[in-house]
Amino acid sequence: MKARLAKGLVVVLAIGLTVAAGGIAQSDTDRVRSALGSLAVKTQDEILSAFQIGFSQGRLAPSEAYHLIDRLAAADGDAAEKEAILLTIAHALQDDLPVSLLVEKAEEGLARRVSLSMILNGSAGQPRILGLKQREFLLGAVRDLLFSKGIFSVPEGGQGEPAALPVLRFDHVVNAISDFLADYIEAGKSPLEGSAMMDELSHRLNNLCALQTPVIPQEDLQLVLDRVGPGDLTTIALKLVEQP
Amino acid sequence: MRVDDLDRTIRETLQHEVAAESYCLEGLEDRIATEVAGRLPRRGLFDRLRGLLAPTRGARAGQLAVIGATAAVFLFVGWFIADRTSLLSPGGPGPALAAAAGADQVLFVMPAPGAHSVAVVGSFNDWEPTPLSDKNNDGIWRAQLSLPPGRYEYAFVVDGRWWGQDPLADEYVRSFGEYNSVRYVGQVGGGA
Repeated sequence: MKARLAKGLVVVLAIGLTVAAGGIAQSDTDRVRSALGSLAVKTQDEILSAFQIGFSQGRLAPSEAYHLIDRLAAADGDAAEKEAILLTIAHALQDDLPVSLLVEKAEEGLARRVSLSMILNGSAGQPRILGLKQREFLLGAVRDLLFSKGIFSVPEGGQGEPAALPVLRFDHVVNAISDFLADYIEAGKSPLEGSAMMDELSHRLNNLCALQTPVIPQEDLQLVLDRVGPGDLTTIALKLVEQP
Repeated sequence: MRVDDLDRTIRETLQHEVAAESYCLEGLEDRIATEVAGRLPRRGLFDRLRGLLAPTRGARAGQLAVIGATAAVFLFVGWFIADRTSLLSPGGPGPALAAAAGADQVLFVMPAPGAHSVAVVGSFNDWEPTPLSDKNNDGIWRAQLSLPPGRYEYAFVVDGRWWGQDPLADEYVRSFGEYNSVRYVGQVGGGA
């Protein structure tokens, strides 16, 4: 009798623990929704659906999303600006852009206790500070430039043979060029110095190519150096500094 | 151990005592006990598991308890690890500080005599402080991190103040109006 009772208790305990573990291991979407709840955002569905796209594409890890949302929730500042930071990332995902640099910059800004407005909009003063909005613009402009050069897409009148790269490899090229241009402008250098910009970009890309596991493979590096010129960089840099 | 073996062990130990001229009786019992214990066969994991699964009447509840609890613990630990490392997520690894295949050991060094706390923050740890230590109190704070190859921006935080100009950096960039150091980890033919 005692043995049966013990057996029953053990079965109930095991089932209970299993159900509890399954319940805790809720889906990524549920966890992001729950984290967003702490921010009381009005555009929760839009952010959620965009983040889901990012999760499925491998452009945003759920752990990165929770971390950023948690950090935003703990930060001082206006709830609308916190929501705007998440929306900027969501819009970039909806626009088929990589977002790792945006997430990283938001994390850095929050760690530095920079104001939410500065993280979002930057500053046109000296030194110039790029916010997430300017960085999102850069990502889109570089992506469009590569498209126009026949890298990844096949535009009409594109130069040379079209080169289709896998999405994440293409993202690395977009990230590398965008990040370089952001660093160049934040360093206070002139957007009119196309040749100098091109030399520095080449140096950056070569460094990324020379790693044991290259961030930019040699063939992608060569594609960029063959097809992107100083004038292209100047055009984007000038548009960037004209951003409001 | 069979009784015959026990006798032989005691006899051999006594002979050893005589041969070694250890005539002192004090501690003899302990020495024999130690010798016998050393010769006892150890019970392997398989034997222990077989013992647990043996169909004795009183042990059945225990067996079920062990099996049920083990299954639950494995489920929970599996969920916990997957959740923490995002291994099941398409986004790849979370913070780069997690152990990574092909990771390089990267040394971060910051001279800060008299400082109370020194940490490094960067793109490899989601800008969350990883503490440096000064074990020999020479004012040189160090941390060695395992990082996958890549380009990382970082800064030191000394007693709460950010310091982004590491002399060991490969380059420097401006970010939010301040300096960040940059390291290329995993350069072919070069250090981290």
